[in-house]
Amino acid sequence: MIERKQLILGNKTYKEITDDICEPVESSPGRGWIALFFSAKALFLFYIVSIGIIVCTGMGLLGVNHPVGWGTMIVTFVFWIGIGHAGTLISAVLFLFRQKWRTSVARSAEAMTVFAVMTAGIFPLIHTGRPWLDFWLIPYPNQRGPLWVNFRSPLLWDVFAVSTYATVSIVFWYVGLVPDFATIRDRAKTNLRKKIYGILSLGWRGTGRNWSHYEMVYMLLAGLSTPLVLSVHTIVSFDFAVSALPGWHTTIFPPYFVAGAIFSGFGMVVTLLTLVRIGFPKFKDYITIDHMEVMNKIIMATGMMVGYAYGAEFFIAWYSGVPYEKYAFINRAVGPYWWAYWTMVTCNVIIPQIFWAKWARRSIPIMFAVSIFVNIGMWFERFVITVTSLHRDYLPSNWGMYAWSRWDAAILFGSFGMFLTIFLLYLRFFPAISIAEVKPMLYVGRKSKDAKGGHGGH
Amino acid sequence: MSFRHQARLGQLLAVTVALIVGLTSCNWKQFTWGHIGYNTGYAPKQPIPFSHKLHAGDNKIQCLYCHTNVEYAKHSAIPSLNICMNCHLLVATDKPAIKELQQKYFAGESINWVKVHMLPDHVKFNHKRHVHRFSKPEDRYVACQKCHGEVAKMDVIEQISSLSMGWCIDCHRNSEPKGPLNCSTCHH
Amino acid sequence: MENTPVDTPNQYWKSLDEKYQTPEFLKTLENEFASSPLKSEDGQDGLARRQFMKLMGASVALSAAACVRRPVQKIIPYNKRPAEIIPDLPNYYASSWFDGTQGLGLVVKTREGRPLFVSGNAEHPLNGRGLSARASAHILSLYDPDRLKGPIFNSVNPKKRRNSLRADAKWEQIDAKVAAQLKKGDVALLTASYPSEHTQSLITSFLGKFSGKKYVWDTMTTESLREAQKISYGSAVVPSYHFDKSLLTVSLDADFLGTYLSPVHFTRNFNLSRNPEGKKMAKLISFHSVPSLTALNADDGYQVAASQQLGLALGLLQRVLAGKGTGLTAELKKFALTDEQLGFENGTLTTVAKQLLENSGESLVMAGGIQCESANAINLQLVVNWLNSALGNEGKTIAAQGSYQGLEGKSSDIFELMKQIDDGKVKTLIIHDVNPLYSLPASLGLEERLNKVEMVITTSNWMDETSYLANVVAPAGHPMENWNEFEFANGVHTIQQPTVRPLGDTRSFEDSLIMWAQAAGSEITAEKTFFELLKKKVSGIVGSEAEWFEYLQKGFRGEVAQGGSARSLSSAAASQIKPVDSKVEGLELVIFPTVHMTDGSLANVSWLQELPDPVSKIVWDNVLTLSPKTAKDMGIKDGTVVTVEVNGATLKVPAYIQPGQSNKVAGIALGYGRQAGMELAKSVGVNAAQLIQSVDGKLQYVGFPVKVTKTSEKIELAITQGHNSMEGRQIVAESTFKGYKDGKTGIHRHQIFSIWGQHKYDGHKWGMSIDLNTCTGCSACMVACQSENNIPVVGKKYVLQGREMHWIRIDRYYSGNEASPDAVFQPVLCQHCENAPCETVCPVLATVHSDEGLNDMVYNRCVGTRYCSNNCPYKVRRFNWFYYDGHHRKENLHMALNPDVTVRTRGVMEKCTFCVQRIKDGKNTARDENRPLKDGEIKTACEEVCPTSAITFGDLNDKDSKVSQMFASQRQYTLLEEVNAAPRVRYMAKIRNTDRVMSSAHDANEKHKEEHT
Repeated sequence: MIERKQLILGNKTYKEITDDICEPVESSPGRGWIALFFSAKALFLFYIVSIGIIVCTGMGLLGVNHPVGWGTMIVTFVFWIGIGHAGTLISAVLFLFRQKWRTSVARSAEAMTVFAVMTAGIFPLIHTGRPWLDFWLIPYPNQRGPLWVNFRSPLLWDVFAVSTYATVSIVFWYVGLVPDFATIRDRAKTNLRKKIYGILSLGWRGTGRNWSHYEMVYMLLAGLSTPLVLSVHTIVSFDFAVSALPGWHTTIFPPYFVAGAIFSGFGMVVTLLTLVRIGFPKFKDYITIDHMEVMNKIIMATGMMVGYAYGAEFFIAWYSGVPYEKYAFINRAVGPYWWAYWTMVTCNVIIPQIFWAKWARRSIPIMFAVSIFVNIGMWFERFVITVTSLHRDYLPSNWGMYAWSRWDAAILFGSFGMFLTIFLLYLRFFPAISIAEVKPMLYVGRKSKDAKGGHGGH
Repeated sequence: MSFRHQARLGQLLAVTVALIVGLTSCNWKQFTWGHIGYNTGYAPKQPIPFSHKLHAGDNKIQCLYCHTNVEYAKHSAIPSLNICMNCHLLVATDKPAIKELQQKYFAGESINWVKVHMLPDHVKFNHKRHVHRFSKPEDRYVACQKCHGEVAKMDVIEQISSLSMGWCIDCHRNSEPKGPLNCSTCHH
Repeated sequence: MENTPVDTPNQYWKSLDEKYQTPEFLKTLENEFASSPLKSEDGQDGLARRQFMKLMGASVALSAAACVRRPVQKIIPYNKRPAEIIPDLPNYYASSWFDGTQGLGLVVKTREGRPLFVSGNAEHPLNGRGLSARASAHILSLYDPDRLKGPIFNSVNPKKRRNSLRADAKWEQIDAKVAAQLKKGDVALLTASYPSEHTQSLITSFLGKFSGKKYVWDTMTTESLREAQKISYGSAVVPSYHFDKSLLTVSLDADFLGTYLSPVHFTRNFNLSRNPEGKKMAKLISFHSVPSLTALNADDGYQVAASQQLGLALGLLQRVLAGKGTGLTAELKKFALTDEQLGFENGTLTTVAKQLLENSGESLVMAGGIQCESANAINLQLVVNWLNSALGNEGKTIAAQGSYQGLEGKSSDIFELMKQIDDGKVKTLIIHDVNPLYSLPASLGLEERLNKVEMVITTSNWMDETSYLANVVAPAGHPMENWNEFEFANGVHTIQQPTVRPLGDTRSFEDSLIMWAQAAGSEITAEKTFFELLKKKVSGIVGSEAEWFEYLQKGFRGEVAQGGSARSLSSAAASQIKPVDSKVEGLELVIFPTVHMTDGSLANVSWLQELPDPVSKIVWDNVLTLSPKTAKDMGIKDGTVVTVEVNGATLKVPAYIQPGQSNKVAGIALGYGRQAGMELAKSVGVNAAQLIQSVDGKLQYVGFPVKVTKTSEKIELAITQGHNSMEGRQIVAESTFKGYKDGKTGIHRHQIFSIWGQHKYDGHKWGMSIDLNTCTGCSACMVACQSENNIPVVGKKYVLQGREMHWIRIDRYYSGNEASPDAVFQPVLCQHCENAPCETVCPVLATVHSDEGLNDMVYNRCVGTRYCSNNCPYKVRRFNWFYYDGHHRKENLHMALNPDVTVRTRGVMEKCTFCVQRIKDGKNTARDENRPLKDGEIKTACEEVCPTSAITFGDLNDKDSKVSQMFASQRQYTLLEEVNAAPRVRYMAKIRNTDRVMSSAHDANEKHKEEHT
């Protein structure tokens, strides 16, 4: 029989684990972090300013036009929402399947999820013509009759789906953090630190009752958020699938979008964790190469699912015999936006194939590169779906091109500024690995139960 | 220690619950916030202290004597000065306000009345339709009153109704015969 | 100024201001029309941001505290309300407008004393209800911010006059100065054709007093036509054409449906004989150099170079005469061209001649317009006259009775005038209604000559190219501000009554003449004003005061002169044909007018600048059109900038590949490249008039060699139509007349089913039918809609980004080979679908169905997710990307806004409403008179101005309504039926009267199981 791999390397003791994980929170940041943080922050500020200008001047600044009514903002929205999938998947689904390896990556993945959803959440709000009236999308009692919202509109389902997802994943993430906050609180030297983490840890004492309640809640939330993993992106996909537009009006979208989301989500997790490993070398013992390898396997698998979806779309387009549908897909591959389509295929389907090779799966530089490609590819997937379907639809007289402007770029890259800023802050103020969850894994796959003995190894 | 924490948590919960209950249970129609932006009770001072009480009330002058437009058009138009002059060439010519009025009239100028009932430009209200529906030619006051209140009792004209969309819709839904409820009935 | 549409080279300055670097010009450098909304100094969009801040501010304030009031508004009543004005009830006045060659009877809608909308005078014998795009648009030129506010005296020394030092003057001063000058005598009046006997007689007596002479010149000249008529028939008339009586019309580059003579009248008549339901359907054959609207509407079209027109005509004549047993003189035979010389397939001319003979007396051969002003212009017309006489059409489809009046422009007059100036015989030059320095080539040397004249007076309303060099500018005001009476066609008199008091301190040309004569001490009329004169004269004819008012209400008197016998062709005519050998090696130039710009007099009207040219669909630019083959040979693509050179005069202009154009010609449109006085038009295109050639005392527009050289520059052309082919989809169904008679409509019907029941409508159920067979694509509907619904104009920059705002657009598709394609036009507006895709996806219910089947759009509820537009299969929704109506707010332009239609703010979607405000008014009137609504009582703006009544709006619940009957026709079909949005707008298949075997693109590409009906 194959013996279990060690989940945590370097024969740690419990104390060492705590020390390692708390270190980033308790020590002051190094140059690398500071440099990264401020560049990200600059980008974030730039983002805020450009949003301000766009809102004050008009959507016309962006490339959206007639016929392409949705552009960068929606594309990037779907992109980020997609990113925000791995987190819940890892923490909830894998938790329910008792996948022990998830413990050391779960925390960051969840964090990423929360931040990604935050980033995504901005776009639907600012992409409207009159953002200051967005609250009209919320069904609230009003003096207009009252006048309610249109519950048939997928955009409205979106409002609910995304907000629910955001709430649940935030709660889930926070509950998981509570015991660790308590740990930091108890280790705290300064009074302020004690207070802050004291409040954050909601009076956690680590008593048996605390633990049993905790386990219960965590289990429940996991169960609660599992369907959300599927629902959110399913509903986001409805924004397109429910419409009458050739290239959008597709039943394959829900599974296709979910697969794509998990794909891109893991892509982003890998990107970030490789960086985390570099930034905090001690974490290498917890986020081991094996962890990365597992995720790379998932990337390859989901990548191929997505690839299958691409194929299926074309088959159906041909099989349906609808001329408009046919044209829409031929136009994707060979139309004016062929480059976008082929970038997408290359990045999402072809490049991940390299992971068939074990050495590639286990090589940090390669997996980093691939994960970046995956991110690019997935952004383009959304671009292809949104823009190329719109730019040539039923009546040829309407055909046009997306009028990409520098503001589109500002919005796209700015959003990364926002995401990174928050994530970097998180790395410094929250324990980036779940202490409470990692500790039980200490002896998994370890020969001797003797912690000290392990030290001889060093 | 643990106590304090739990206490804190308790307070937090209490406040949230209170807020939620409060906001959901209050009746939005009467709720003052429900009238944000609506000018109910607006009674600005007019350049000439014209009193509807005096004219429509005490002297029983028909609304339509001055507001001729309502019969024919969407706007109920403020009467042009020559209508005032029908009487005030002779009546109360000693009063300072009337002097001013006359002076303005003969100078060929007009009076900048302060608008009381303000509808946004995207609302198209048709006085004629409503006046015709709710009153007989002999007594239009019945119709006017419905929205403008007891004008004959007002010294300074005041906005009685909220003129909110809900207020319009209410009537269109409940009055007999019912009014149309298409968006394009008022918005185009 | 990165947004300048055409970056014209230095040797050809863009504006006189620029040439002379006046302060005005340097000022205008900052604010371009379509500048970035980010520039705060830029009027319209700076406003956008301020407006936004205001909104935000207000909303914040309001939500902050309930006690906050809205900003105080004032109501200012009339002092004495005019009897005829009831605030917010429109008044309608019958009036008219003369547009160069075409006269139109109008009904002008005014509100609180300002004109808002013009429609045709339904009873008018010429245009009826129909209008041209220009006629709908000329209302905006009334509110043109660049129009002069009053008279101007140019005090700079006469040697080098520049308008940079202007002194605004009082009329008294002007009159005094002019009078003093007039006393010296030697007055010359340069004017355009103007079919008003009252004005003319006034002019005559005026000139009589001051030993003056009148010189007449038109850009859209009819000179050769008249001369040829004189030679052939003895009198120089512009005959009347009766397309309704013609079963076969052959157009030799005569764009009678678009720009030639009286297009609206012609279009209206032309379609009377084109009813496919009838036993016979008229046929149109077009020989053209550059495709015109007429060419695109032709059943059969052939390409021919301008220099070949005469040869072609002779070729036809030869065959026609042969058919009648006579023949041509050997002299003329030499010039008659054969099929292969013309590059036609063999037998073409013979077939056409055969068809002509078959329809003797019921056919019509027509040539004319500036596209025919070649060296052989008169000869061509002579041959055409001969043809018509030989075919016995004279007196039937073409007649002297009801001829078009007052068209008397002569290019010889221009040369005569210049000669007079050179001989110092002109002390005072009055220029009225023409702009010679713009519409004549600089090579004539008019500019220097004007500087020689002691005093030049223009009556232009703009500080335009001519006013620029004049001493006195005495603006005559807008037609809508002045009285007059015209006789457009022999027998019909049409009144032009002012519909607004002059916005500026302007005075009609006629009044000026009277005043000046008075001031100079020599009365030319007892009356004080021209109006009194006019009224006295006309009352003398119509009779009592009551009848005078009756006349004003009716708008016109008399009817087109009819009857009379056919004129006999003078025997001398044949011998008068003296062909000039005008063979051209290589490319030859064709200067042509476009439907919307024509002579450029309305170039400052943004509606027209943004109206896609019906043929090329280009906005905000003029281009050099080349045939696909020529362009390919020269390696030129759309937008490649080329230099066009003719005898030294060069222009730099982007090229455009025009399918269906002759390989031998390069075409360029008139009416662009205004150089002064018109801020909007200034930087748009180049002035093709600079290329007009003067050859021994005649001006030539076409048929001379041109040198076209490619440059490395490229300009993006703003073309509103994305793609010109239907890609084998059933968008426009078409069939041939023969096929249709065998029951083939070319329509392919799908079996549609829905699991949902249909909506019920117990009241009205509005619907619209659009007949693609009668639609000529003239685009009048687009402008009318713009005028009725306050639709903003966005400028070239944003049209390039696909942000034009038209609620109704006209799609033009080509089919067949690009060398000589068939074209179809299709007006597309909101289809008001039963199962509207837009309605289901709007999250805030901003677009919903009304209980009369309308697809309501609620601007004030819209938050602008734009999902509705994405989901609209017809893409008829338009989004306000910026605060566009800022454009309307410029100076007087806000007065053109229709108060019954909300002005949309930034960030909301808008679209066709079926003119819901008109529907409401119609229903209100019916209810007030408590009677049921009459069919046809409510007309949408587009329907109202359509010259061919291609658009029919009405109630589908009323079984007898016109629209219900249309819906029952077998030609009726639904656009994108298979999407099952179940539109309320239905189209009627196009029927092409041709013998060519045409497979509708749809059948060719798709193999469907469903049966074809």
